[in-house]
Amino acid sequence: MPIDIQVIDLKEMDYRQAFAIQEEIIRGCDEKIYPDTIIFQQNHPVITLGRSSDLSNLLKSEAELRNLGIDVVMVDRGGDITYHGPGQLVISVLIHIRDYSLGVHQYLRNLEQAVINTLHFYGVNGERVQGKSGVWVNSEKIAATGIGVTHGITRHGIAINIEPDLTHFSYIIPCGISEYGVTSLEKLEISDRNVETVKKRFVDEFCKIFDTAVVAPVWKEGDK
Amino acid sequence: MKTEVKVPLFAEGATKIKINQWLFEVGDKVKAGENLVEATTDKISIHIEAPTSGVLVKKLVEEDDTVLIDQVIAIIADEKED
Repeated sequence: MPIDIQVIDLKEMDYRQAFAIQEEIIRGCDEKIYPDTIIFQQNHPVITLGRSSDLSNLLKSEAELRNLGIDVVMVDRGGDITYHGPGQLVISVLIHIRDYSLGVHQYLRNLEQAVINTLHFYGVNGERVQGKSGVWVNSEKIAATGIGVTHGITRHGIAINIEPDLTHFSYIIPCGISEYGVTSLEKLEISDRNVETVKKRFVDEFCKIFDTAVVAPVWKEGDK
Repeated sequence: MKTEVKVPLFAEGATKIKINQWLFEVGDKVKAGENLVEATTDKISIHIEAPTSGVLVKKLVEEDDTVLIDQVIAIIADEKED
């Protein structure tokens, strides 16, 4: 029987504000007030550092970055440094992982597969690279992962580059991997890259892989 | 009564599970559901929570140790026990 999942679209929002909403929804999921949840968002330019971040992968000072209009935030996910900004679809997935009988490794592979299947609609052949997380196209990363699990509930998720300003990635060594670049649907010259369609396709693929069914959102902005 | 704290099955990853940080000390009171330990595998951060309320009486692994799923990593005892 499919597991209920609500889909919440925060549109474009400051990372810290979106983070606070994610935490609020996780609490609601933990208390079973909310079903499992997919959150879509695009952030104002921000560099986030995970628990295992190496600061030498940050190639400009925080002050320089702020002058460029890029915020810097520490977050409670695994992984190294990454960038979020307009044109990149950030997908947070909050699920009770035990209900899916999944280990975190398989969970991550399933999440990547949902993105790989989504990219197929655009004629893009996304791949995994042995020993590295995320989704890659021609040895460049198009989707980055970063997740944490607390109380058996997953947080954060995967971010797909649709048409972000790729020059912003040059201020970091993304995920600490210097030998590969980043790419986007725009860089791959996919002209039909409407973000709303990407969201819909991702949800369809996610539901097939995780055996979930979308229900009307229970969370509403302003809920506490 | 003593309760074992085990590494949850969902922590199964492709790489070893590493204990990063204990969030409580031996002798501390803990509540069911509180995060006891932070671990990582596959660059994923995982909190391992207290399965019951009581006192953390024993830590069986140290920070930077690697552990297996279902491994007992700590013991929680009822508050009344010595």
